[in-house]
Amino acid sequence: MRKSRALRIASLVSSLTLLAFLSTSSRADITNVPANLSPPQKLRVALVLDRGGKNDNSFNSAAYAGAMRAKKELGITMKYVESPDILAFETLNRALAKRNYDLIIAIGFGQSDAQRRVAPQFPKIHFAIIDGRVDGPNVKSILFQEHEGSYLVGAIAAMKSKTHKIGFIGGMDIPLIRRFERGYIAGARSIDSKVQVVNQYIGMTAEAWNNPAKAKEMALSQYHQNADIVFVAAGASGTGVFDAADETHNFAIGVDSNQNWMKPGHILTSMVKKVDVAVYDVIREELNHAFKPGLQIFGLNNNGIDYSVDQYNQNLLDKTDLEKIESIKNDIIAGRIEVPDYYKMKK
Amino acid sequence: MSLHGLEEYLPSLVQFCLSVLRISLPLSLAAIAGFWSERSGTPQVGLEGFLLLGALAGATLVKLTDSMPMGFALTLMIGAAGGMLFYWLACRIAINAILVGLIFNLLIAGIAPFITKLIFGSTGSTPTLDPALRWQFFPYLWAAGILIVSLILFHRTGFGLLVKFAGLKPEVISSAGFSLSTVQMCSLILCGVISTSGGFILSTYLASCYSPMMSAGRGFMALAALIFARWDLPRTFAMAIAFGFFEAAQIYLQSVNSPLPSQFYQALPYLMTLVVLGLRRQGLSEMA
Repeated sequence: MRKSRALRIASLVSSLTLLAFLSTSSRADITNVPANLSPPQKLRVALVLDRGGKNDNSFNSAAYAGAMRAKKELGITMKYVESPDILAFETLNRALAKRNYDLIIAIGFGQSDAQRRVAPQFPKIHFAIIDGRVDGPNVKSILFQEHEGSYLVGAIAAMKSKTHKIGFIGGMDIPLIRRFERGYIAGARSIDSKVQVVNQYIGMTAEAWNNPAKAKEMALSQYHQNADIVFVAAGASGTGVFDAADETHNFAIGVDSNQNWMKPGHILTSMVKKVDVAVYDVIREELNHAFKPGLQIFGLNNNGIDYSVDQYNQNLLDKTDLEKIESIKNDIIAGRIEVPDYYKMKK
Repeated sequence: MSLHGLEEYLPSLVQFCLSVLRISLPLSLAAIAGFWSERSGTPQVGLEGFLLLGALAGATLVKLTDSMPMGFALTLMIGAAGGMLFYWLACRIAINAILVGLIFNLLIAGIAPFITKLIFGSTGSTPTLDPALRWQFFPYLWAAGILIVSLILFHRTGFGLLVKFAGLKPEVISSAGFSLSTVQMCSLILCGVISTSGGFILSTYLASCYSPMMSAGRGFMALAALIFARWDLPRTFAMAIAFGFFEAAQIYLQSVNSPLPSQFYQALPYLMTLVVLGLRRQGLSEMA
């Protein structure tokens, strides 16, 4: 008697846990309304965010902002979902496809496999993926030239460093982040051939994107070793680096979104990936029936990648700095500077 | 190394020691929490969940109340409630405690996005806290205080004696006229309070917001420290500091040029945990 009651409660607790895990994703499956009953007036767009969630102040925030702008300006129906873990990506993509969304935009390289499996099963629905490459007649892959922007902020760091020592902190140790690192180092060396670059990675698992405590510890160790500017490409862990810059009165460089506002006066600039522009553009294309599957690349040349200057850091970069940066930027666009690309390097 | 060389390295040595202390804070608190639970006879694999609970509750409550002491007090209460829940599941309705611990870890990880969604409208991180609120020395005092209080409580009081017997020979307690369940309940509440305080320090002192799964294996490292120290309190604390040392060394070594790949250093603390758990496997069944 006692045993069975214990078992019942155990199963209740575990099923509650499962429910908590899946509730965001399963809801879409239950109400599978056939769309041809009432043809939708507006374009229906769904956005599947990566694990960081819409408030990561970085990559996902940018995607969310782009979609929100499209909703406001283009008058579309927009639904966004956040994935609690990587296992939910496929379920979310499939559930949204079943509900006949016209366009499903997946944010983050982690969703590549999910879209690769789901997209062929829904040939009439358009898919887009940011930071990943999926081939298919109904999928658009959007990639960014992160190494170009990293080169630029590397050059800025070397210009502004007083100690001739700068740092880099990457999130998860994956080729995408190595691409940031190589570009950054090359950019710094182009300004100051003797500059020392300390580079570190937070971890080898997806936890690395969500470990601000460790990121802060790493940044403190770099600042104490006399590095005075640290570039961080680590998603939600980045806040830890900004805290360290604030406490030790040094500088950090933000990533993906414009993060200058997060610690005004301590964030030199941000390497901006215009994920918001990419998301907005793909929605507009879909609306104009101009959706083009295949690969689209955003770089410095089409303003998909940039560095940020605003009211929070304009005192940190003077006019001569900006002129110098602009000329490097133009050189990269014109092809006069070749930025090393980790994807094309021999490993 | 000449004395002159030592002087040159001294500032970075001090920084390194501070780094070890910082990293050890949540580890040592979780290890002490595990100590209370395991010595009273309840195997504790839910430390990861407790840490996460403390981190989430801390960042959320400090943000909402805009006050550190208030957030801390409320977090400790939630920790006590978590310990009560654990007691109820593991001792009262007698589900296998390992199972309860695992479910507890999953439960917290699963519920956290729900709570942040309800309160802040996002399943990801919570908003960052105002740096002016941040404590400077209190976390160290708290950890030292918890260690001293635990030492006195365990070795010098009747309650400590009861806990000792609850783990070794539970039948003695009832024959001596005490209630075993009360002893276990108190120990688990202590465990909940101490471990969530570690989580609180993690999200409000070591970081400035809650981030999903930010405990990142620290609870299991604490458990490994406890097992390696053979459930002895001062040695447990020393082991937690040792794990902190490895983590800090990993961070430091990664930043100096070295022939070994960075992956090796990143794996170091976890490797240590595995080695320790493997070496002391028989110890596991001995105590818990």
